[in-house]
Amino acid sequence: MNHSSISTFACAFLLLGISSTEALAQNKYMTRTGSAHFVADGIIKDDVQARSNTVTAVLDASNGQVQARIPVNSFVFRKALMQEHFNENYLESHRFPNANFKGSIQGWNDQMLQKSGPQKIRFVGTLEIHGVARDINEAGLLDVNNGQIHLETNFKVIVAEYGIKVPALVRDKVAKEAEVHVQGNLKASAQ
Amino acid sequence: MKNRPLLILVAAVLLAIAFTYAYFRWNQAPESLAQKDPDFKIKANTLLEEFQSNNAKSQPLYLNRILEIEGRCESIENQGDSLFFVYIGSHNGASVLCQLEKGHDPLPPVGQNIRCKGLCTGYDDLTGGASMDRCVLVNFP
Repeated sequence: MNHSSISTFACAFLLLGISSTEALAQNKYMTRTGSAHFVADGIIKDDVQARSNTVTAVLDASNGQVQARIPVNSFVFRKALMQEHFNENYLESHRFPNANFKGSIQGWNDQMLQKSGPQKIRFVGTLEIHGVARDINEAGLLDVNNGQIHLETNFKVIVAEYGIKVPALVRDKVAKEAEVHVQGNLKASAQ
Repeated sequence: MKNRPLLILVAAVLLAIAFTYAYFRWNQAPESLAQKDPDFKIKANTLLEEFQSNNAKSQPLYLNRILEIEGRCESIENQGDSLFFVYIGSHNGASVLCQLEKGHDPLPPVGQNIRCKGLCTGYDDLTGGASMDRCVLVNFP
């Protein structure tokens, strides 16, 4: 093999490498500005609810794998003291800064991105909150619109299952089950 | 006892004061960070580099702290009229995501060097970025 054929081979290899990397990159869809909202009002209604707008979610369209991260201290409550207790005493955000989901969309196939209109899906995987990881299988929605993938899910979190201790004093104010809603519009990612 | 009515009155006033304080303290909304001093002033790219190179060391240092970061405005994103996000700095293709406390008019132009103060919500291992909430732009009209 002479010098020119070696360089031609090297260029072809490089181009092939670049194009396959791009193909892989186009398979990833991502958002860093998804939202999560939960309501955990107990018997005594006291507006125990909060919202985060900096949820990261990544979908690998080649295999339907999904990962999500919610920064715990990004939840904003209407009451400052409630927010303080949530971070310092209940979720301990200094020790467990993120709530994480790692899993996939059940029965994933490429055709799901070609369909129009909302599609019912199921998220299967592991949800980690407060350092406790539990398997979940929750219903959700997928909707492809203008090149963006909208994902959302509603589910319940049993507070005690994640090792979150609620003091007896406020037990009637905080529900045993929190209703959680997570959603995001994912765009094709270059990362 | 001669002073009994007076004692009851004082006790009632003290109770009322305590109750009023507790009521307002409980219902107080989270305060703005605009008037708070930052715990750290740091370049956005340095923050990203520190998180990416050693998250175990950087997370306890910066998480839940008020940071004032400085760096290039990489992009702006808004969701309706109420949610505004600014991406600042760039290191290995990742930026610091800052959710603004409220809308700014005008928003900083992409490419401009800006300073932003907010609560650090930590390292985002899915993107290699970092995130900040309740942010305010510093010295920006």
